Amino acid sequence: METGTLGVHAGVTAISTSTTDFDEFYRSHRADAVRWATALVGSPEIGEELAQDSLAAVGRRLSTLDNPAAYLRRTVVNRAASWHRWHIRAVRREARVAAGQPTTYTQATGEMLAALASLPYKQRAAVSLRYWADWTDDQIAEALECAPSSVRVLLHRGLAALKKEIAE
Amino acid sequence: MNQLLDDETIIARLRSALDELTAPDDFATPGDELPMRPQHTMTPARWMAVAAATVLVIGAVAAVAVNRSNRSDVASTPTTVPSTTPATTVNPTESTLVRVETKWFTIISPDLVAGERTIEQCCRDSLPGPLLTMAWSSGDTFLTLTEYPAGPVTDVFPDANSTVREAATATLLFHSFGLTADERDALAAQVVAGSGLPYVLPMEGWGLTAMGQTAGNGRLVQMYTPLNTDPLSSYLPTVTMSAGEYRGELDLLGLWPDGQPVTVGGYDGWKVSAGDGAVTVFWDTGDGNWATLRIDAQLADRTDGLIAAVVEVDPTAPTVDTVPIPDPGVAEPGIEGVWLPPFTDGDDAAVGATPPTVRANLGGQPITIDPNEGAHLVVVVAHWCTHCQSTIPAMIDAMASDQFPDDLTVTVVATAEAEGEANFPSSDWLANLGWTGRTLITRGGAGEAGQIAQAYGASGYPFAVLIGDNGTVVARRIGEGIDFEALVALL
Repeated sequence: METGTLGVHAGVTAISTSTTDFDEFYRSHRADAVRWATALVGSPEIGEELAQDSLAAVGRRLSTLDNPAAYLRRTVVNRAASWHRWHIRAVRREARVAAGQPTTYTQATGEMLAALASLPYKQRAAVSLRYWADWTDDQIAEALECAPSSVRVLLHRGLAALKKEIAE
Repeated sequence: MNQLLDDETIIARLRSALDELTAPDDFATPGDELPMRPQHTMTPARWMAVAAATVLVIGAVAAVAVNRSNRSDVASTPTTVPSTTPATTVNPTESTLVRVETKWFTIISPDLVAGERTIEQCCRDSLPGPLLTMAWSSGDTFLTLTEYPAGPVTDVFPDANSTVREAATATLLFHSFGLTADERDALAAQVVAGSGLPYVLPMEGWGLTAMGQTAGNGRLVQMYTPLNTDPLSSYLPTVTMSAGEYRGELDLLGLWPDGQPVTVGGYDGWKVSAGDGAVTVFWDTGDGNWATLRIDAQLADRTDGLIAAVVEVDPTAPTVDTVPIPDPGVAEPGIEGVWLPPFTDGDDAAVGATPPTVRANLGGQPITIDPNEGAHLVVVVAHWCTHCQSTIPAMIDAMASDQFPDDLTVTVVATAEAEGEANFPSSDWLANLGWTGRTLITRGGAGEAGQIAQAYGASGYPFAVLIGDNGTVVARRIGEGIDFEALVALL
């Protein structure tokens, strides 16, 4: 299986992987990928998109990956980070538009989601993945491409910021 | 409100909120068919016209291959749809993987690391992005049109720089460059629906410059990050290259009228500064596509250098690891000010004194330890120093504690680097210990004291200097058992 190479179409990343292997990986990881991505971007719809793209990325490299699950974790986190960078203006616009409008969430959930949205991305990712998705510090560090000790700093700062946001 | 939230409470609320957010049954069942992606509101007939007209007017527009990708055929070879044929009809029950054919560029810069090249899709789902953009030009002046679904435009704020026209089936937003508002209004009034093109501007001297759909097709995207970044910072400055379908880049000239013409990779383009300090550079790649280079505000002072570093590359070349990661190198420090006295037992004569300012440029990344720029903790170590092995992990653990101030800048000075001694090189040694933050590495020899160490008065390793907000030394410590939490508590 080729991975990361470009086929006969200029600029096209060819997909060539074992359908059976990918089917199995997809079935066992799709739900988690969507949940993680949703938590990282705050939108089930966008989370679904990011998860699908991430799973497709894993599929392109599946046979060459020692640890596809770790690659998926990293890909989801990276793509969510990319999404935040590209769409931060739209997110802020939507937040302004949505301010004060009723939502389908409970008040407590709405407060927490708003607090999460106020965090820098790495802090949001760290607290969400550690305390909700139950990733280990090492897994988060690998996904965020930082040292485990840095994850602990992010967790500390993220929780402190959440407390401050909720208390205000 | 609640001032007494403890960690357990906040974590419980976090779990509850994210459980609720991620609760929909849609993705609760692993193994379901790939879900449907939303369809766009443009009619097939409109896009057939767009596709055909694009070829006629612009030339080779991004060829989009839509590959059916449900679970049974995800492994199939992507099918490139010639741009002269109507777009492939996409079964609305299946998701799509979009392919992009475009020229491609890379940035040759030793201190930027290229990330994975990905495909960025635009403006779908809850993001109400524009659907169609067109741009006409006459000399150095431009008129751009963005078509939105009929009704109020919700994701932009029309202002004095724009003209809005309500049409029967769409809302049209116009921007301009080099035109007065009255001239723009007059031109916008002349734009009419076309037959071969979605819209035409039947004015002598004006011609279509670019057109693209901003939903459905993809753009190739690659993000670059600085080689040396602070792992404790939640803000990672980036430079992002993208190329693919036209997405209204010329609008930027109207929105931020400080645009300047530039040459990028041999192509004519513009650079525009946004209000947030970021810089966007964009250019027509001559194949119907457009490329952009977005430079975060923190790197904006390097814009001209980054533009010069853009080169066109073979789009079939591997994209990961094409930019070599350089040796982090060794700094030749500049030390300004009065050096601190050597550290000795007893009362420390340096306490209350102003330490020197240390400046170095490491692999293109300037690092400064300036006592006038807030509190600093400087930790001096050497890779061959056996007593330093536990110091870095102890410092990292302390940084994660509640006692460690968030605004305290920490710099590790790995001094007296000596090839052939244990744990050489310093960069690998520190990375293995978990430290990837601000680091200065200076050469010397085993047993020698580097210049920076001497400037801070180190009489041995490990050695720590705490500098307070007022720019003076709060305390210095030496030896294997430095208690960093107790040290920073002195601030």
